[in-house]
Amino acid sequence: MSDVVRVLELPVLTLKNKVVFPYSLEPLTVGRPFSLAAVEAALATEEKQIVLIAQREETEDRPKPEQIFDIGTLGVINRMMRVPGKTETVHLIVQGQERVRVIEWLQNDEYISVRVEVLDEPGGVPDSETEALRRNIDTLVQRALALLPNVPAELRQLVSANDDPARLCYFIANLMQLDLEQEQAALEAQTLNRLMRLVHTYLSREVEILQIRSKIQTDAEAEMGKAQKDYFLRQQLKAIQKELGEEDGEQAEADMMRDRLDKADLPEHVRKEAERELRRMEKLPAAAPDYHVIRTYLEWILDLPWNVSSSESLDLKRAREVLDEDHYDLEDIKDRILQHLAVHKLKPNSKSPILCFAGPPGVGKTSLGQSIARAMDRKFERMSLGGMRDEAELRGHRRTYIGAMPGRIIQSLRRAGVNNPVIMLDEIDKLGSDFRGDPSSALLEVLDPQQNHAFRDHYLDLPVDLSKVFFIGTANNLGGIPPPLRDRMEIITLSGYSEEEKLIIARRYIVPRQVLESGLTPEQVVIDDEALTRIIGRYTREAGVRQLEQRIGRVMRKIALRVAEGSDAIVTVDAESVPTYLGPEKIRPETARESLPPGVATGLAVTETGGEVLFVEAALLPGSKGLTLTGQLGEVMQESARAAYSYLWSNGAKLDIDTSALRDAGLHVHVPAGAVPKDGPSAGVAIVSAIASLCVGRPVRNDTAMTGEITLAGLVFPIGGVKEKVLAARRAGIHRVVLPARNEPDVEDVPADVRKEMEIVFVDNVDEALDNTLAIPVAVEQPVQGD
Amino acid sequence: MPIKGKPWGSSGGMWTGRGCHAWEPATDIYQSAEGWVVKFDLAGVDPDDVTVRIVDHTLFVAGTRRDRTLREGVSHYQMEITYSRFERSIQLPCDLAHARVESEYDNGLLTLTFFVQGGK
Repeated sequence: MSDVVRVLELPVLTLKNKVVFPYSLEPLTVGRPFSLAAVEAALATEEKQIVLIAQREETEDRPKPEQIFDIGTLGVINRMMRVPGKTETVHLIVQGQERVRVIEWLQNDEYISVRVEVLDEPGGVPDSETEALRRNIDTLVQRALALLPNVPAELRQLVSANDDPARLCYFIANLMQLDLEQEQAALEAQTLNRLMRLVHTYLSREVEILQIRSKIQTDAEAEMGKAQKDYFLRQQLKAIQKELGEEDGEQAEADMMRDRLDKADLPEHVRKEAERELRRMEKLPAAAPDYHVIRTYLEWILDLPWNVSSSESLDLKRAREVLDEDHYDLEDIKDRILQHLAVHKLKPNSKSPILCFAGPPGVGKTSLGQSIARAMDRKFERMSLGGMRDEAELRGHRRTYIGAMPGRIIQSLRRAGVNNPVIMLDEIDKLGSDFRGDPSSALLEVLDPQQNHAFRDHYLDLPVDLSKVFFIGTANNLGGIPPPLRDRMEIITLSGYSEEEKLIIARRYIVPRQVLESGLTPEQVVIDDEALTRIIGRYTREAGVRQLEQRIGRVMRKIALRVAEGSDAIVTVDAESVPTYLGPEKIRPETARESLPPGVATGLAVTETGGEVLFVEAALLPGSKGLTLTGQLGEVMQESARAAYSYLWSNGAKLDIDTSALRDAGLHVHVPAGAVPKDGPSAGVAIVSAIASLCVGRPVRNDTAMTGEITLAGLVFPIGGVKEKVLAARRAGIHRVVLPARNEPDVEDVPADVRKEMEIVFVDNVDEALDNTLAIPVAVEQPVQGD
Repeated sequence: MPIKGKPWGSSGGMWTGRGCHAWEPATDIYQSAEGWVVKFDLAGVDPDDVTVRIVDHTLFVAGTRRDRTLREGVSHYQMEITYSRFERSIQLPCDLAHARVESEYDNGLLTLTFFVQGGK
C-alpha cells in the first residue's frame, strides 16, 4: 500500500440507484444531458477516466453536490457506443478501479467535476474475526450457489478461486440484489472486517430468501405436477371419447340438463335451486364424485310432478258405478267416499281427506283404494309401510350420504307423475320404530292437511306440496297406530263378511275372475251355490275372501287341466264334488257340541280373521284348593275368570247355587285350543256359566253361545265385535246368542237375513245371563229325579 | 449491450500496488531451441509508456495506452479500443532473471526473447 495520496480531477457521472464497485465491469446507459457532457469530457481525455458516484435521490435529474454521496468509484470507460435515435443516448461499459472520496466539488455549466483522493483498499490487520467471516461467507456462497438454478460453472470457479477477500466481497455485493443504501455502505467500508461483516449479513439474508423461494417453488412444482397429470389424463379421456363418438360427455350432459330445466314447469323457488346446482355441475369434471350426486339430484327435481295434475272426474254417478262394480255392499264406505267427492266438487281447493280403512285381511281395503282412484280418475300409488323402521326411508337421506335417495313419499309421487294421485299407505299399523327414528312421526307431517303443503324431504330439501294427494291408509289393527297418527285420519272400519256376503262376492266377482284367469270361458264351468257355500264354510276360515279366492282358483285350475286334456263337457261343480277338487274338508270349525257336560260353556271370540266359537271348560278338583287357569289365557282373561269364580262364590246363596263344591275342591278352568293365546274380558259370561253349571250340575244349553264382560257386582258389560261373533255362532250352527244388553245397537251391523235366523238374548246382569244359558229342562227334571 | 465472457476481467494490481487496471494485452508465447519468445499485442501504446519487469519465473508487462487522436473538435462516436492502464504477468517454467533478454517493438507488437542456458 502506498501512503502517497493521489489526487485527481475528473468529471462525475452520477448514478441512479446503483453503485459501481472496484474491479467490476458495468454496462451503463447515459441519457441525461449533463451526464452526457460528463461522459464526453471523460472520453476527451487520453485515459478515459471518470468518477462514478451514486445519487442520494433517485428521482433527481440534475442533482446538486449535496444530493450526491461523497464516496464513489474511479472508473475507466472501456467501450462506448452511441444509440441512434431522436434523443441522444450512449451505452457505456465501465470498469470500476478504485474507491475515491470527493475533496472538492467543481461546478461547471455543463457537468459536475470533482477533485478526488484515491482511497486505499479496505484493509486492517487480518485477525481471527477476518478468518471466521471469510469461512462463513464461503459457506453461505456455496449454499447460495446450490440453491440458485442455472449457475454457470465459471461463476462457481470464479468464486472459489478468488483469494482476495475484498475483491470477493465486492463481487458478491455486486451479484446480489441489494438496495442503494446497502451497496453504498459496502463501498464506504474502510476496513476489511467491516466490509466482510456487511456482506455476510446481506448474504445470509439472501440465502434465507433463496431457501424459502426454493421451498415455495418445490411445493408449487408438486402441485403443478399433479394438476398437469390430471389434465393430461383428462385430455386423453376426451380423445378416447371422441374416437368412440361420445363427444364431450360432460358438456353434452350439462347442456341436456339445462335444456330440460328450461323446458320444465317448475315453481320459482325450485327453479332457483336447480339452476344453482346446475351451475355447480357445469363447473365440475365428470370424474368428480359430486358430479353424479348433483346429476341425480337434478334428475329427481326434473322428474317430480311439481305442477302436473291429472284432470279429475268428479262425476258422482260414475263414481258410484265404479265403486259398485268393484265392491259388493260396503254401502257405508261407498257413501263416505262419495261424500268426500261431493265436497271436493263443491269446494275444489279443499284439503284432501285422509282416510284409513281398518279391518281384517282380505276384506278389500287395498282394492277399495284402487277403486277410489278409478272412481276419481286419479293415478293410484301403493306403498307398504309394513315393517318400515327407518324414518329416513320415508323422508329420504340427506344428499351428503353416498347413495342417498328421496324417501318413499317422493318416490311414489315421481312414479305417479302427477301431484294429485291417490297414495295408499298400506299396513300403517305395522310401522316399526327403533333407534334410527320413528317413521310414524314422519307420517304425522305427511298426513296433516295443515302441514303437508310444504313437505320437506331430506334429500330434496325443497318444500313439496302434498296437499293435493289423496292419502288412504290401511290397517288390520287400529291399536297398532300411534294415537297422534290415528287422530289425523278418518277411520273407516271394514268388518268381515258374512257367509252370505261371501257367497255373493264369490258368485259376482271371484268366480268370473278365476274362470278368466284359468283360461276358461264362463260357459265351460258351472259352480252352484251349495258348492260355494261348502268351500266358504269348510275350506276357508277368514273374515275376508282371500283364501276363498285361492280355493276357487284351485278348483278352476283343476278344471282347466281337464279341459286342456281334451274334455269338452261342461263341468259342473256341486257340493258333493268339492272334495274331489279340494280334498277333504280342511276346516272343522268348533261347531255346537252334540251335548255339553256340566261345566262346559260356548263362548264367542273375535280374531283378526273374524269371529270364532270357543268353549270354556271347568272341572272340580276334589282335595285341591284354589283356581287353576290354563289355555294360554292373557292377563285380562285370567282376571275375568277370577272375577267369575269370586262372584259365584260370594253370591251363591243369592243365585240359589250351591257353592259348597267350590269350598271343598279346587277349580280348573281350561279354554281350548290350548296352543292359541287368548285374551280379553268378553269371555266373562261364558266362564261364569261354565262354573255355575258345574256347581248346580246342570249343563249349559248347547244351542246357545254367549259373550259379555262381567263385573264382581254381577253386571254384564258390553263387548266389541258383535257382528263377527254373531256370524261365528251361526257358522258353528248355533242359533241362540246371549249378548250384553248394551250391545243391542250393534246388532244393526249384523246382516238382516242373519238376524232373522238368530235368536238374540240381551242380558243386563249375570243372574239374567245364567237364566238364559243353563239348561232349563234338567233343572226342571232334577226334583223329579230326586223323588 | 450484453457483456459476454468474464465480467470480472482483469486481475488485481499485484505490481502497480493499488487499484486495478482497465485491460490486459493479448499474449503469445513461443518455445524455441534457445529459450522462450513472448509477444504482446500493444497496438497504439507508446514504447515509452511500457514497463517490463522480471522477478524469478515471472514476467510483468504494464503500461498505459493513451488516446492520441483527440484534439479540438474531435469526439468519439464509438469506442471499442480500451485505453488507460494495462498490465499482464506471465509465468514461465524457467528462471528468467538469469536469462539474456532481447526486446523488439515493431508494428504495435512487443516481442521479448529469452535465451536460457541449455535451452529450456
